Amino acid sequence: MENRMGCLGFPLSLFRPEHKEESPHRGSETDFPEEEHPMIESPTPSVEIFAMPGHGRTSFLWAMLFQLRQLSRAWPSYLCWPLDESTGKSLLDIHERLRLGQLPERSVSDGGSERRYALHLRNMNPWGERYFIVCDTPDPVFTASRFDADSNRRPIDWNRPALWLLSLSDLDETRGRFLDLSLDELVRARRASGESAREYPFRLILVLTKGDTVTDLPPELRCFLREDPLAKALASGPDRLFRADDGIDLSPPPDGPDSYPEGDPLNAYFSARRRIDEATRDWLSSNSAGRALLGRAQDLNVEIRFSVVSATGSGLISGQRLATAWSPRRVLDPYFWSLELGG
Amino acid sequence: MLSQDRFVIDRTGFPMIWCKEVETYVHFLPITKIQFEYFLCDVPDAYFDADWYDRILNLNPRVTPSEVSAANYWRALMTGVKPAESQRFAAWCGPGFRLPTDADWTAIYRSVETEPAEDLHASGLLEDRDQRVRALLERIDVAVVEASARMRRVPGLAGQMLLRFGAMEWVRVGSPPSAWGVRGEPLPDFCGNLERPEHAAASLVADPNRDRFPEAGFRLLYSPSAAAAAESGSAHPPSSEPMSDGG
Repeated sequence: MENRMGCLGFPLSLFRPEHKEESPHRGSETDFPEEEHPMIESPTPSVEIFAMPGHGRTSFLWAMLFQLRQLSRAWPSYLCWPLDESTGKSLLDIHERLRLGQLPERSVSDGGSERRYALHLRNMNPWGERYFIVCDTPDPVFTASRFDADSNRRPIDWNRPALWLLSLSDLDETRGRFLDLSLDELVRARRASGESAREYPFRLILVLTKGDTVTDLPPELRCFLREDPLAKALASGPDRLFRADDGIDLSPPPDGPDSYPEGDPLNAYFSARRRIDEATRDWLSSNSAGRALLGRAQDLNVEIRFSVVSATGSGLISGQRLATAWSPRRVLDPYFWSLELGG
Repeated sequence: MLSQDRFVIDRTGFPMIWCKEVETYVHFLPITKIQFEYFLCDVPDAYFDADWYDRILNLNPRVTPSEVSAANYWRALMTGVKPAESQRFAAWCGPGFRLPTDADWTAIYRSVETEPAEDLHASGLLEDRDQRVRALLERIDVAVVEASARMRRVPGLAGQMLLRFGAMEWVRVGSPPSAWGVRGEPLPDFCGNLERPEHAAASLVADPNRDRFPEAGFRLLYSPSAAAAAESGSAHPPSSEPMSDGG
């Protein structure tokens, strides 16, 4: 029977300096480096995340880290472990906080501590083996005032697909009407960062966060969030999180629009991601601010994908606490998009 | 089982509808602020003083029946109350009143999920009602139709009773009931929630008697048989509706 730490019950001996990790198997479709763990020392995240303050960056990251760790229950050969002691401790802490319904303290953009998380992901078809490195830190685009001193600025790899987290329910009316100008800010920052970045289209995943609270979210998109098979199985409460027989059946409902090919059980999850992209694009096209954003993206040669997520799954909150455990919805879609776009 | 009147009226003048699946009456709407105000005026209890109610109203401000619309109808509901406070209200309502269990709530929801909405006038639900109660029932009825249309759902009886697009509602969970959970599918304007209303309540991880949740309300069940089994001298038994069409 699985111990109470569930999938997080990794051996802490991994963190000892003398521990030697076996060389990872090289997937044919990866750009996995030759060195053993070179990216641990690298300051460059594998996923760049941009967000205005208060748009759910930390919650999104917590939910994503939680689900990346839990994916093995749906992907039998998939493995995920922390690349450093700090990430390992953070994983345990995040897992426990999600179980207890605790919410993050104020955003790091408001002066909280900055965090960096590094994971090693293995057997993640069709992308094989990856390092997943993200920073929970203010970005120089939407929180530029933090970077006046320029002392803590870290390099940004603009050639990687970037995530732009946007909480529609937290946009004031002016910002909501000028989303295209926010995109301009991102692209301007990218161009200012160097010539090499101009070689490729800017690949951007626009992540609509706090999807459970978006009042005019189309019912189809709400349904995708509500019916997220991965989330329902993974985050439905301590009882099911820590059960002994914890394999997850991601089979679609019999009347579902997609048939499930043999093999990878996440194919239906992935195909839903594409339909969410299309439905979100259609929805945004139905209003002037969305049309301006899409038009500007085309002008600026930005290849854009859309994702809708809910990190908590619920807004029943008292102070800094949810009434129930977190139930993240579709929070891995943005990362899978970034891999598909060449991250 | 003896034939039951389809509707009864509680001591505050609000209707309850018979649900044969749980063999009890259930409040047609979650408890409203108007109902709770009757209680507040009646209980000689320093706990429920003006400051207490002010704190509650800060969480979900009050709206008068005439101001109710699709953009604010949840403000008419009594939310922000803790389970223990809800139980005090149930006790005040009289013998036979109680909060539902999770199983009760599921059975009630399933029994009305596909039922058409009541015609408030034809059913007699509005007859002899206090002006405020009548106005509130009518305005919420209209508001829910509008809200349901926006969410592309047919309101039906579940919507009309605000089992859908109402509040999160306290339910007892466990067998025997020993803890609290929440059920419901509020409008996202009021409370984000992606759980399906027909699914069992998720385990609470917060302490419902310490933390106060602005979107958590409740409704009551009334069991005539339980009331009869209790001491016979209940001062405020629900009155039968004369317009009953059976049940």
